[in-house]
Amino acid sequence: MGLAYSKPEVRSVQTPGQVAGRQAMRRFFIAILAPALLALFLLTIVPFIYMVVSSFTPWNLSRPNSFRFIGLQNYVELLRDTRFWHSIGIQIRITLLGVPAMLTLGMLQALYLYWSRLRIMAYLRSFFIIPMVIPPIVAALIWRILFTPSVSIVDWALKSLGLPHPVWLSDPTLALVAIIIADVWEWTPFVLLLLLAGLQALPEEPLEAAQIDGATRWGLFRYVMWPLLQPTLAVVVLFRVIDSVRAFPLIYIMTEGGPGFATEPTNFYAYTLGFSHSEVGYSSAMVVVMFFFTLAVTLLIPRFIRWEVDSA
Amino acid sequence: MSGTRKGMNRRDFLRLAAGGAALSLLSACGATPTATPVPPTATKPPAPPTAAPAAPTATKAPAPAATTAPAPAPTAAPPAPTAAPTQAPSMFANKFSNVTLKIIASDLAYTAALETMFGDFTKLTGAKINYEKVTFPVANTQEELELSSGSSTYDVMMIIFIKAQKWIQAGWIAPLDPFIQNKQLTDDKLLALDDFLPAAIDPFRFKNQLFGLSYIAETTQLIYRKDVLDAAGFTKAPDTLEEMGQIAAKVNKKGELAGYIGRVTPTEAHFTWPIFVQGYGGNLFRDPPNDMTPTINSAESVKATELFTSLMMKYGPAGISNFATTECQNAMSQGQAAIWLDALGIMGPIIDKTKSKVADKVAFAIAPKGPAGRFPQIASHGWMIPKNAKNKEASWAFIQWALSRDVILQTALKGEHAGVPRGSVLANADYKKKYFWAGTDVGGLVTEALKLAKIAYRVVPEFPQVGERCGQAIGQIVSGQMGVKPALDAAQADVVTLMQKAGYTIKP
Repeated sequence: MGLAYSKPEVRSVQTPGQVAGRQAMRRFFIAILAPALLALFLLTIVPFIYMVVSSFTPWNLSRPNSFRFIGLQNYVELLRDTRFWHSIGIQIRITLLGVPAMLTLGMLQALYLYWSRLRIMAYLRSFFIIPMVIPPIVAALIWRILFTPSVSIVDWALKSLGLPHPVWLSDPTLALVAIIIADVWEWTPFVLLLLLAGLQALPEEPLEAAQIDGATRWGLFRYVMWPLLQPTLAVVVLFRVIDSVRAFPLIYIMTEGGPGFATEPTNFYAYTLGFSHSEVGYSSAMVVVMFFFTLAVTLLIPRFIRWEVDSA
Repeated sequence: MSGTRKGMNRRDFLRLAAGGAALSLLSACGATPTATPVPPTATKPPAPPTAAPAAPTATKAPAPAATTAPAPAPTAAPPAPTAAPTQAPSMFANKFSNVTLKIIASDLAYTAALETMFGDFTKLTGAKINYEKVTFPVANTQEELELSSGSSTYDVMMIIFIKAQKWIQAGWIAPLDPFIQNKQLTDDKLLALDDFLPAAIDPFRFKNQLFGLSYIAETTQLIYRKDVLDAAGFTKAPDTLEEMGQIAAKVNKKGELAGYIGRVTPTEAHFTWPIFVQGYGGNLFRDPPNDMTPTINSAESVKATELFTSLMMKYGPAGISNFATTECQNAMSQGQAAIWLDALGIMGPIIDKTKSKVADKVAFAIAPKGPAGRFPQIASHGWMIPKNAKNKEASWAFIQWALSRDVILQTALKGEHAGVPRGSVLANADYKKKYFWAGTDVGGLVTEALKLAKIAYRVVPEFPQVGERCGQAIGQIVSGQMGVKPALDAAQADVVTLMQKAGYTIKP
């Protein structure tokens, strides 16, 4: 018969000096963090509040007296704005096609580097992250050149081999695919880094146990690594979903939202309104909607993740 | 109590943390706070513009969006300018020796040549110049941000005609008339206001006040491969738009030589499209600036757009629906295109023997005409003084010097700056000698085009948005997403909404 056992409660007794010391430490930490928090507040929270306030006005920078309250008129207009809904559709496509592609490629690369016994891979590892460290504008220029038939070496090679060589940036469907390809190329290294770190942080015991039991690499990945990587995957997906909403340099350099509106996501539409047309009020309303949309997605994603895994 | 342990104690930690915090604060001091835009303080309501450009003014679409190549090196040593080097009027001598002027402009042939002469200005007036050159689209966006925030960072800025009315009517620009009328600040002989082409400076007028002065007055011209047309049996340039289409069809060789090229990106497609629309009797508005009812999908406009877009779809190179300035320059200078109708100011690389394979094979002609007439487009860029500039008098001295006859002539002779805004320079023998390109008196083409252009539709504050929306419609047509009528109908509806939001009454 087993013995009932309960852990005895231990209450720590602290001297007045220790209490004073902890309070002093707390005040010290607050004092250290205060400048950073103040900067964060002034540079992030205050402009955000200003933007939300602007979203209730028809403010146009070039029209005097346009900063006046008009209630929810901008938001009502957004509901009727077909171009806005079209841009939401483009954004969803960029996210739903790009993020899984990055996850898949990043995971394959991370697994390869994790399992590779080649010593040289330790040195070649840094080449994998080159796309991520190139400035986004440079990456966009590279891909624009690669997709421009008259100057593209890829187009020349395909033509020489007699293979199909589509005109990516002129085709409404292929232009978006081109943007997604460039985005995946640029940010897969980010996924790789996080997943590789997650793999290297996995506990060794379950992996060894599975290997002793004869698990193949696929079995190891499917039944041991994948569940344990859930929290890391949640972070990766969150980051990439949020970043996919900000894929601006590629659009600006490669297509300017064209041909027509075929590659115009919401952030580019908002940029055009705010910076080219000076329609700050309406563009602010659009950005506020995007913000809450992105916030909702980031709050939902963790709900699908198993944060604790049974050890048995 | 635990035993002695290695590592940092509390005192060491506190010292390290304090040092780290101090370093963080020091590095944060270098950060530039984000400028938040300030609502404009001008009180005038957004009424429809009442001041029309005095005459159907010049200024066709400028070299928009994509950067115009900075002045390519002249292929031969330019003839020595006949004008004497700029001499300081005594009224400016050392007048501004404590001033450093901050100037921003886009890097074009004129500004590239002018930059080499800034030392002359400093010697003459004492003022130093802190010059910021950026690409054309960046200059426009950055300047608009600076102006809208009421910033006093810049003393002199570039102004382009399609933004001019928007900026002027927002109250962001200082009028020049008080300076012109003040003889303590203005040397009439240096300024020679009457020597400016009216078409070049009229876009910068509002309610009979002048807000800017032009340094570029360029026009749309036709550049074509003379050898290709000769081989196809065409001994002269097309005179009509229809002829141009027939020639393009005849000389087009798919995959080898495009019969016709043009700019199609959303921010650039609207620059040459109006040549066709007006040529067929249409316009973007019913009677600009008096009646701003959009007429983008009129029968004339649809017919014109069908020709305009079919030229590119049938005879354009692969990828044409994404063509901007750079792609057109490359295609033409590499011998991959036969005809290009566009701004003269961006054609410099094609006649530059160091960059172009066809420099000796191209010729120029005036923009072809349609059934309703010939309507080349024109563009005017110039200098202006922001309302909150700190050194306005020195700024005005700079503008007088930079736009003086001598300096304009020198910049035209040093760089490929053919689109000059002064009549005397257009008539100058050295200018004419240099700009006799491919057997054509380019200065003469510019002068003729300036007389014909009808660009009142462009000099309204809302035009940048209207132009971009039309450009998007053209992109939809050329990429095959929509037919001509549906695309123009959709553009018309959006532009009507836009104009109504801007306060215009749209008549049915």
